[in-house]
Amino acid sequence: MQELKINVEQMECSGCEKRIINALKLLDEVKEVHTNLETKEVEIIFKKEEDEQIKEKILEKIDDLF
Amino acid sequence: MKQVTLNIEGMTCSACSNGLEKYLNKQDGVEATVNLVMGTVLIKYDENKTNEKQIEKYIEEAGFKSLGEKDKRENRKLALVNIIIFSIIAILLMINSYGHFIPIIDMEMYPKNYVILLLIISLASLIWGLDIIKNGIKNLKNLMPNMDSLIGLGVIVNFSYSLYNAILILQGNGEISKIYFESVLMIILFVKIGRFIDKKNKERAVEAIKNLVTMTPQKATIKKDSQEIEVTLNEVKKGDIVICKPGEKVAVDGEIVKGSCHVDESFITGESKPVKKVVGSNCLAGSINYDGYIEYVAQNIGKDSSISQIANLVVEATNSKSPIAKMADKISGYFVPLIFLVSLISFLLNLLIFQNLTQSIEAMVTVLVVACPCALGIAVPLCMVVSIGKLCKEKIVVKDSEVIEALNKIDTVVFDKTGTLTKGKLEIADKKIKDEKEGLKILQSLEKNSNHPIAKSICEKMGDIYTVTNFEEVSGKGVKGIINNELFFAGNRKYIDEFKLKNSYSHLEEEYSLKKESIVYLWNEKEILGIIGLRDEIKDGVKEVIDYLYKINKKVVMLSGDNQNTANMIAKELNIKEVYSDVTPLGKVNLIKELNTMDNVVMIGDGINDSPALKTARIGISVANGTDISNDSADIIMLSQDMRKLKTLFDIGRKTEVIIKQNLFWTLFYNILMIPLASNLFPIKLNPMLASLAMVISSLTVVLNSLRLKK
Repeated sequence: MQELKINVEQMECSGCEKRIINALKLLDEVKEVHTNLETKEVEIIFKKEEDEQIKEKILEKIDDLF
Repeated sequence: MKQVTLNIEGMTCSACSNGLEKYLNKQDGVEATVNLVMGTVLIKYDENKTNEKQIEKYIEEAGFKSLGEKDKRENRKLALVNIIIFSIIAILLMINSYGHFIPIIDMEMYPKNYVILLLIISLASLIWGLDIIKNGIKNLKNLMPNMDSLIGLGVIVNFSYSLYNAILILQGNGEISKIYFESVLMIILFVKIGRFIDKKNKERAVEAIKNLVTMTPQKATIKKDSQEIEVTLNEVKKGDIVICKPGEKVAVDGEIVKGSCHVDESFITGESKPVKKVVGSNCLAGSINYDGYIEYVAQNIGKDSSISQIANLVVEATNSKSPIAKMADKISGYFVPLIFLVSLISFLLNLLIFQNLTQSIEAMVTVLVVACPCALGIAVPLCMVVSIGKLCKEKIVVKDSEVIEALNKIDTVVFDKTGTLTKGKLEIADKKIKDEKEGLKILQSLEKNSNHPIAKSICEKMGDIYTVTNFEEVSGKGVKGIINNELFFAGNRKYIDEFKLKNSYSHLEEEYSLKKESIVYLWNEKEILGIIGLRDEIKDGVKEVIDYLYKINKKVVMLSGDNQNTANMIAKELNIKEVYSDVTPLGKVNLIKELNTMDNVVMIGDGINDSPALKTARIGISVANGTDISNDSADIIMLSQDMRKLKTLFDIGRKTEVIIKQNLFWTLFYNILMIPLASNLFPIKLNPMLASLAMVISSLTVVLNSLRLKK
């Protein structure tokens, strides 16, 4: 997949949004990150096609943040 | 082990700060404590396992940026120094071009030298303003242009055009009138000044709030093995016995185990009247011990202390975005692309009408700069911060700025009776008990197990008591338990009516309740043993507040779990027309639900016991809770007992809305008015320099208007 949409319930404020974006962008595979505070949705766009394993990596990274 | 305190950028809420702390503590060799209020993290690390560079990387991985050890104040000073330097250069340039009496370099005589000088100055300006330009271009590339995009584009266009003409001049072909290097300097200078003013005022307001936390002393004396040791505040652990001598400040939240004294808690409650503390009393970090020697066991230390929790709430509130703030951001979002369009149109129209490239470019840049909605960006946030700060000064803690907005849509104010309208310090005023001494002993033995204000007052002066087994508290009704193998009950009329016992005390009940007393019966399975009447006093200032609420057209409602007579008598004294008595906790929730159909109800009560009802109302306000902040579910916590603060709250809420609306109107009107003037198509003309000056004036106006809230 080239993009991934996940729900991050702990994303409460715009500070949290920025944190998630900053932290995820540090990953080599990540091209862009978009967040929506109202729906708690985080959209990640990868530089190229990635397999299911990347989802694990992303979820782990987000877990680390809260 | 080494230790370092780093300033962190990006911490706005406690979810953020907890997240950072957790992440850092997971790393090998690192122990971190985050302080949200100060925006810092204290790091203790093992230099064999890690180093500062690695720690900064960890911070980045957690999504933040480390600003190093440099104090925020130093960063601000640096910014100011830059502003002063460039201002001086700007002034010299202006004198040079317009005041021909102090020529530094004569334009006419040495055009090439002049051009080179200007080029150098504008390059320096670009470097100074690089953060703005980079941010602007980045957002433009992502098709999400913002204010920096407007400024960035304006400056780049200006510079490029001037550079082109500069090269022509150096080749001997150009005209000096086509050089706009000064504009590059002026635009960046004024934008920097504008942002400096915005930041300084916001930081100042937050500093005042942070000062609350610095009220706690840096050192404390703890008792270890009957020896007194002085330690730093960080070294005090939960369970330590701390000593506080007369004149000293209490170091951490705790419970007194020895001695007694009077303390000054005005820094939290705003009341200067000393509060007596004895063994068993709670003492708050930061309060001043007037006159006694006490030893207390440390309970809530560091950021768990009441005062830290309060400061945290307030800082979070200053970072919150209310609906109006979000709306302003949205308007900004649409505005910016629109401005690009308008500037392009100005460029084309100018070219068509005047056929002058220089003028057209100047018009385009002027529009880009003057329409920049910088003032719109601060119109709401600055106002909210000042408002929250003012409320904080009045000892009113607001947890989210959206509450201040919501306050203005309230039309119904619901008061809980006991503890809110009344002091909650009931006294036994009347009683008739068979075998009084024994009866009271039984009653107190039962009530000792309950936290209800009535129970606490009954146990005020207590001697020995019996052991109670199978104790049960029946919500909204009373208590029961077994003493010496006999089942006893204590409670209100509602409860005792369930037992259908012969009630020879009802005339006393009527007599007491007409005196506004709360009624408690004592009985066993066979007969009623007695009745007591507890009197509660109405708090000072309550009638004043209720009159004020009527004056501003609010509906006032009273809720009480107490009996009808008592509730009605108090309601009558306060002129409250809508009264609900004998209400159970669930009943309170349902009543609020019924009244709150249009998100128009504010309920005032106990932050912990009335929690469900407070949460059901649109806004919940808790009164005089300076101790159990973490469990307080109210949206607004009033730290003072003075009910008149409610008037202050509504007042400030109203003023805030007015000033926000003024700010928004002004900035939008100003921008829209300036655009045609900037386009060069109307009699009054602007140039880029005047445009950026206009921007600063606009920002300054918003700032000054917002500061009016402080009065």
